[in-house]
Amino acid sequence: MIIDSGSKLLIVILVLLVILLGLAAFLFYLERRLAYSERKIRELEKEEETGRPGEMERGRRGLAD
Amino acid sequence: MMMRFIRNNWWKILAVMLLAYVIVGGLLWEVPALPVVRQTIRNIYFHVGMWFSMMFILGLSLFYSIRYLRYFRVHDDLMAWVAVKTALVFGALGLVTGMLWAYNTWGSFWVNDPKLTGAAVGMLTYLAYLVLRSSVEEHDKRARLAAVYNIFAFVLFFVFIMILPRLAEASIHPGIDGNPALSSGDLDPRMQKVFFPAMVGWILLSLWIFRVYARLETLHRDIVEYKENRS
Repeated sequence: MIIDSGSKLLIVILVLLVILLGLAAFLFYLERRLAYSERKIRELEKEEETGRPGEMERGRRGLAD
Repeated sequence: MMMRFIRNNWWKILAVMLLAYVIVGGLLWEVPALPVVRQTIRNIYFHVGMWFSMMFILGLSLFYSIRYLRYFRVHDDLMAWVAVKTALVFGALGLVTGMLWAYNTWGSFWVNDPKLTGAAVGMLTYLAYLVLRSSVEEHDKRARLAAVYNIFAFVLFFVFIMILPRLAEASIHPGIDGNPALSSGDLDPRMQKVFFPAMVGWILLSLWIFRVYARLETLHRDIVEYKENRS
């Protein structure tokens, strides 16, 4: 395939778009991981106060309510 | 599920869409044939975006510092610190994009210009904030000192980048008589349809990064507190 100067610019634009989408996907992924960790620390604090395992921990251990 | 994701993250999706539009429109659409700058004028969508984002996040930092001094909540001090660090990243990117632009138009990465020197000194003022904050051991004292300094730093920053360069006799940097990139002489009407969405997109992206970083630091603090309470 012959790539002229116009299509070279299109490749640059495509690369920048891929980087942007990759960055956005990574930020969404980080937010999901953060949400999980925030829930986990809240449960641990609650467990410390009440002495009962939280919802996530009960699910992990396979305990019913 | 999908609708809930869109409802919860609409402004983040908007940021990505605006920035995708800026990459395509900013690099492909017609720009005025200006002497010296020529095609490098397209850098305005990226370079100015970095500075606007930095100023926006610095404004947030100022807000959290003032709120800390009003209510003395540790969380506000943490948010002000996170905001300054996020803003400095955007400031550094603004400097680098500006240096590349300067090299291609003025022939040098850095010139002795009041605007450029003001920007560098302004950023050093905020680096001093980070050093000051990390040098105090006691929590309350550190937070109070940092909050007061942050208010001064914000005022000083605008003195360095906006007031002092205008008092200087001449500057090679555009926008010395008005607002850089916003005055009619700096921005062609053809470029406005990309420039304004670019500014909104970059500011939203900086806000997004700030929020992720803030949640990470809050989580870190919660884990440390949890461990301290256990021991």
